[in-house]
Amino acid sequence: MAFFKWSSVRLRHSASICLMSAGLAAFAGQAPASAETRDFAVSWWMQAANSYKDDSDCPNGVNPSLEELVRRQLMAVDVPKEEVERAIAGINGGAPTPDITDLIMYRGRLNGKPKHAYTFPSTVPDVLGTTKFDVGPLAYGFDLDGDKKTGGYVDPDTKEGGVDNGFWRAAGCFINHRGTWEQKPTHGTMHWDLQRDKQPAWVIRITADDFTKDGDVTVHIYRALERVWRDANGDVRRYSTFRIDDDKRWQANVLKGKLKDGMITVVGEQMHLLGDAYVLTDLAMSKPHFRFKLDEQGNLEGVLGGYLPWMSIFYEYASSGFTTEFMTGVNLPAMYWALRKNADADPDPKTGENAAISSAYRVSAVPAYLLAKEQYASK
Amino acid sequence: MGTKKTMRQRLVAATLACSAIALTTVLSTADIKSAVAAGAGLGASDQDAPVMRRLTPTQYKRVVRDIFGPGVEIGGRFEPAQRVSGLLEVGTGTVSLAASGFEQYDSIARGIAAQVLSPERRDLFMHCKPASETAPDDACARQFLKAVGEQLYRRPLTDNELSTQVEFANEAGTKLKSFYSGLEMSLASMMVQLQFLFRQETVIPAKGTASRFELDGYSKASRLSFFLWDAAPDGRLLAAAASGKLDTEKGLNEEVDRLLAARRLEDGVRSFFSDMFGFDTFDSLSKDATLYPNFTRTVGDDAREQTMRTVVDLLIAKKGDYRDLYTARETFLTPVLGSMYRVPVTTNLPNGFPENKWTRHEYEPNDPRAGILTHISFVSLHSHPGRTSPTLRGKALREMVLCQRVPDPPGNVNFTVVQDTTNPLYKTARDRLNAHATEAMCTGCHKIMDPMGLALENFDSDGVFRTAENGTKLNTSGVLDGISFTDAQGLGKAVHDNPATTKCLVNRITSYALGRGPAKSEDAWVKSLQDTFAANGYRVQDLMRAIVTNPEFYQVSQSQAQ
Repeated sequence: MAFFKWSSVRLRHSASICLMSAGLAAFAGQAPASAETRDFAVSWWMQAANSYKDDSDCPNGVNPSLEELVRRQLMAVDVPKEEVERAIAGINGGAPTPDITDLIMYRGRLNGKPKHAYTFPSTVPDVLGTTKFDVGPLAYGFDLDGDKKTGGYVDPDTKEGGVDNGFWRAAGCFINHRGTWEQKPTHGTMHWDLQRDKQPAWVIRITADDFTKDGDVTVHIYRALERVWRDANGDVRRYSTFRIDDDKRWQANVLKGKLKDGMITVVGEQMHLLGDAYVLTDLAMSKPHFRFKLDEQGNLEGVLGGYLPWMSIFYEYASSGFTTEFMTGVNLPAMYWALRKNADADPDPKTGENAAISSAYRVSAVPAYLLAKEQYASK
Repeated sequence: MGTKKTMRQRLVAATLACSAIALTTVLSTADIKSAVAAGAGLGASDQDAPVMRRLTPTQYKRVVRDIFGPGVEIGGRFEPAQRVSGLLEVGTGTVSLAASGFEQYDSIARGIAAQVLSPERRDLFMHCKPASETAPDDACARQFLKAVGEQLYRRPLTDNELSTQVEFANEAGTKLKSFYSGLEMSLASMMVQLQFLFRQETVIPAKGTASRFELDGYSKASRLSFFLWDAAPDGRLLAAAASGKLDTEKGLNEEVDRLLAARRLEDGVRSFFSDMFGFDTFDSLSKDATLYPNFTRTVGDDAREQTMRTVVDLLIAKKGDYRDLYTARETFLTPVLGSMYRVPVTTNLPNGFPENKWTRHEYEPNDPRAGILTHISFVSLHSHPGRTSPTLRGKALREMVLCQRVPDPPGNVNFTVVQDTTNPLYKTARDRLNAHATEAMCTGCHKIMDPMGLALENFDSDGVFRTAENGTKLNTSGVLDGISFTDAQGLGKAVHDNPATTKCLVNRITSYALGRGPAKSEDAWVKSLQDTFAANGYRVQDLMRAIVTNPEFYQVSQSQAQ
């Protein structure tokens, strides 16, 4: 069945399909013989933003600009005012001299000595200390802990209460994180648009008995060996072919759930993906929850939520240090403190400090063809 | 000689002054007019006379890289081509050389000469060392120019030509105080001579008859090589020309066997079919990115190559029946094409290894595609940027594949109904064309195009399969010369079985080989080629052999020779 009438990729596992003359024959998955699968390539993956147009979701106002936060951080470690202003003028001019760059990069202090702000962010004073992280009350996500009393958000789509999304609470009032799905936030847009050309694609396989009926579904989320291809509009090309990376980490990304009224809702225990070393290194999510819909064009769109180690989120931002900070306008030490303060899971047995933070991402994916190792290894 | 001296002086002076040479510094306008008139006149007024054909850009690049190696960069814009009698190759015998075009050739030639004689490369081509690098050395220059000149002109240089080029090198080298700079200028000047840019043919009396003439050995070699390899003759073929081997049946057959057995035959076959199918228009093909986001430049490039690979595989590798091109289920795909054909394609290579991205593919039995008319190359090339066009597709089929001329539309046609794809009364192209055909002036021509094109309506403007337009199920039935069918596969079968299909191929390939349409006096020869083609199971390679081994291919009548 190499020819498909459906707008999305539908493959009956029981059907013998000749993929390529090179020997890719029957589509041998792990699903039951009668199951139907649909395959996708992730086209967007970014923090699920839900900013209000009037900024009323940030009752204390949006956070100060990158430059203002840098000014406060330098002042807090007793850099002379003239030096601070020279540094701010330098970065605003777009071409800071090496001494200014050093001053900013080493704005941490430990025992009175300069420390690298991106490697040792805790050595930079918390200048957002007085800011309340009260964004909302509407925010995308899930009630991850099953406790309606925690979290405090209401999901704008499902109207479910008790939504846990500490990541949004931490980042939602940074101006470059503000936006909606339709008007995507600057940081997330740059982050993902840069990333998807550099890293092997993230791909999704959904298996159900019958996508036209309510019932059980299984979702696999893998990393592929190929990166995505682009179309004429710069979006991810539909119906591309990807080889599934046989790494055991992604093979274990199995989420079980239900298809009901066209909405697929799945939950898992753990999910692990690797991104690009330069931008998004490691995505190790616990309690992953996923809900999504298939549209008429066969695309997948929905929300993924779960707990992530907040330090890994920080290092996603900080991995390219000064470049990221001044290209995307994220004050990295300020983000460090925001994440740390809003972490809400996995407490340290000794200190009680939380190591994980609840999060939610908007994910969209386009129809694709996925080949398991046994299908491409023979070539 | 006096005129030449003046030209040399002007060449050197102009080069030293600003390195931008106008046309008149090398060839006088009279020279050009004379040469162009010779080429155009022979092609236009005397139908079976030898034609002076300008090298196509592909031939130019191939000749240069054959001589100087694949690493030579060839930058610049070539003169635009002109399609005549359905072929660009025929058009090369009617085109002129404008002053602006000559400037481009001059610029390209200078770039090539500079690379060839650069300190890094010159030892690859020079088999002598000048006595001094700061002064001319006529003996060394002569050795280089003689060897390279024979390859550039596809024949040995005359004494006069060689002496002129050596003098060029001497004068320029003296003024520039550099042997290699002088030689570089002389080489560049050779590459703007008509002897290089045009395929000139020399006629001599045919053996055993006073009324017929034929091409000399070198002209035969060029005809053979450019037809079979789309390249200049190699050393062995030039040697065969020099020895008179090509003038004997046995010798000619040996060389033809060699050329047909060579891998480079693929270049010749590719060039012919690319020309016949009008694939040069891929360079300007575009689709509305809003409607067809998956159609990128890469898709266009791969689609063209897909059809070329299919042609080469069927006709050369498998020595198959030409007619099967229109029904074949085997083809080749890339991962990007897989996304258009909606089939999984992988190459087991990471992104960024395009050279190995092709893989063989056979359409499934229930796949509606079969034959090259259902390739993305054909259906996308003969569509509008934002919609399909059964009319353009039908016209292309008539003209390219069946060699039938479709008249141009009258100047006052109202296309509104056809162009409006949002009209709720006419949801499909068939509906719109039916409405359009109610205009009497349109009906006649549309009858010979639309019934075939409508059979391809399952393939959108970008070539992707569809079953409906504006929510209305497509009716893909049609008729070709009395044969009815229900879909694209039926159309392919009708084209396969149509006698005009093979006659057209014989006509086209003969025209391509001759550089002009066959003359009335060659009707019997063309008929014999058609018979041979049929008798040999429509094997294109055998047809090519039949063409080049027939004395008719090299003969010219007395009046034409005069």
